[in-house]
Amino acid sequence: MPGTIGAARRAEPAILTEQLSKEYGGKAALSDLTMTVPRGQVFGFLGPNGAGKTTAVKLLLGLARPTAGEGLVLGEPLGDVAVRRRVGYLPELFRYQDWLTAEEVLLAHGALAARPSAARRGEAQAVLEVVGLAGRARDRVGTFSKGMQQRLGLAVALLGAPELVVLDEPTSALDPTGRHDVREIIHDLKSRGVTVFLNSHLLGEVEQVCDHVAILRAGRVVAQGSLDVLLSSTGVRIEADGVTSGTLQGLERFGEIFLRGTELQVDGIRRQDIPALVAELVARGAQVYAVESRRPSLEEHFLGLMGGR
Amino acid sequence: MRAIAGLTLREMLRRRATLTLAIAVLAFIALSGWAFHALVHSYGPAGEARLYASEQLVFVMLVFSGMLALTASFLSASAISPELESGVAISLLARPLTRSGYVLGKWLGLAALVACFSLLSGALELLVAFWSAGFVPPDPLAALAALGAQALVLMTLGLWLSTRLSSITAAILSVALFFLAWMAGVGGALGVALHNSTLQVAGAVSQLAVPTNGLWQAAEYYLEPPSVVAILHLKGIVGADPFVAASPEPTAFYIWCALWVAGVAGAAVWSLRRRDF
Repeated sequence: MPGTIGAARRAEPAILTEQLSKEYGGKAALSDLTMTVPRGQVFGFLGPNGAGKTTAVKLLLGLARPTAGEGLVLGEPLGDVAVRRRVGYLPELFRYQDWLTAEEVLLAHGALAARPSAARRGEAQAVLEVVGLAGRARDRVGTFSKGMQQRLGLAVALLGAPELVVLDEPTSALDPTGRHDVREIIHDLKSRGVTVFLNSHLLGEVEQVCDHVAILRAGRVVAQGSLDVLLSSTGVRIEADGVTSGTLQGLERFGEIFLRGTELQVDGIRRQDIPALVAELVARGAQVYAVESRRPSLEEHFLGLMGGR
Repeated sequence: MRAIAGLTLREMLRRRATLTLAIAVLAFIALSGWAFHALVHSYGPAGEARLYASEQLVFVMLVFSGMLALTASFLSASAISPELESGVAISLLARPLTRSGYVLGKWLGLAALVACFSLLSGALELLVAFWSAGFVPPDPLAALAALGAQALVLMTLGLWLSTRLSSITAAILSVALFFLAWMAGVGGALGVALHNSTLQVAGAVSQLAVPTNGLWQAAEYYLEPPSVVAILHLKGIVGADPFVAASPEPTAFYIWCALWVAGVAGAAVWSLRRRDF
């Protein structure tokens, strides 16, 4: 029943964790991480420095053992060695052997990932092309700039057609062109059904590429869900003539109302209630010229959760 | 594991330190050739010259074994810890590679290098002794095997230490243990000569704790002419002279050495398995 198994596989989340915790020397680095990363999505894992993001990634990849809790990666328990054939990983702090050339690094990783030996050179060339290093394949890693090393790291993560790509701060050393290229690569991965787990504190970047996010603070998840839900409308700005304090009587049920001249601001209103509010204003004689639903940026939402940090 | 062994071997061969150590060993072999040549021309009768040449060969090989020990220690001590510190290991271990596969791959790559280096340079030293002094030890292959085994023991020790200590600390500790084991062997022989049981026990225990000196004693036995061994037996000073070996090491000692290497390699695997990145 390969079709059934394939369908079941597609249905199961790429990552599932249940109260995953990690302590180092009695100090909690991650507490009760419970999250679901759906397949084929770009998942942003956010948090300030020291929130436990990299610790979580290391637990997912079996590089550290959890103190408590459990999890599944592509349907296999944490620490499973074989599943890593299907996972690509760009670590936050890494280095490749500086005495190897870029191509040799990729060939070595191809061998470690048990890729067919006949295909390794072609795959290495293909991923070098994707990250813009095709012309530097024969150059030693020791001669690469930090940004080029990060591009090479990305190439290593993309090697072997992984089902899940874990990127830990993938653009920290890149210039704006490099960051744009990474966004393009992530979009391309998504279009091919690859799940991307993006660990970053560059919120603007996450907002541009992610479907789902989880926000971590001091080792705990403080918010998670789809970006659309998390950043759903929390206010509306209306430009209208003929609005007086009398017109607004009874409209407090929609939210907190501020009137400045012809501009009316309603905070805390649900998105689905906006048409009803506008209809009521018009019925009370107001002439409405513009309605603008205000969606907070991820940064605003993030800072709100971090308590204004 | 094979991929890691291949990477390790290539890395070691490309290192400047490996080249420097190889040049130092070759220079030492050339120097010893000159010393053998000078010795043969200092003594008239061929038989007498050969006897001195055999004694000189044992001394030369003692220094040579020390150089091999240094080489094995420094190469293995820098095999794992720099990769743990730099982040190379993280990218490797995120692949479908077990921690034991990583350590044993390192061991295999290093073992291939250390064994080839010991056997080839040791054979060259023996050839130089033959060309310049005409002396052939009674069992050169067994002597080379014992020297190679000694280097493997130290290499395994250095690799284990490298899972927890910095390269330089691991190398210094490994070399220090090598010299301590040698001194304990000398102490044990003095214990036999002086009939001091405490020294004898200390010598025997350290022989087992770090079996490098026992392996040197084995190599020494196969390098000495039978006449020297016969004289020792005639004089009844078996085991009392730290600079001559009167009898071969028992088979049980070689089995212990194999178990020791397996145990220490296992400790290296265990040490890395317990490590969180």
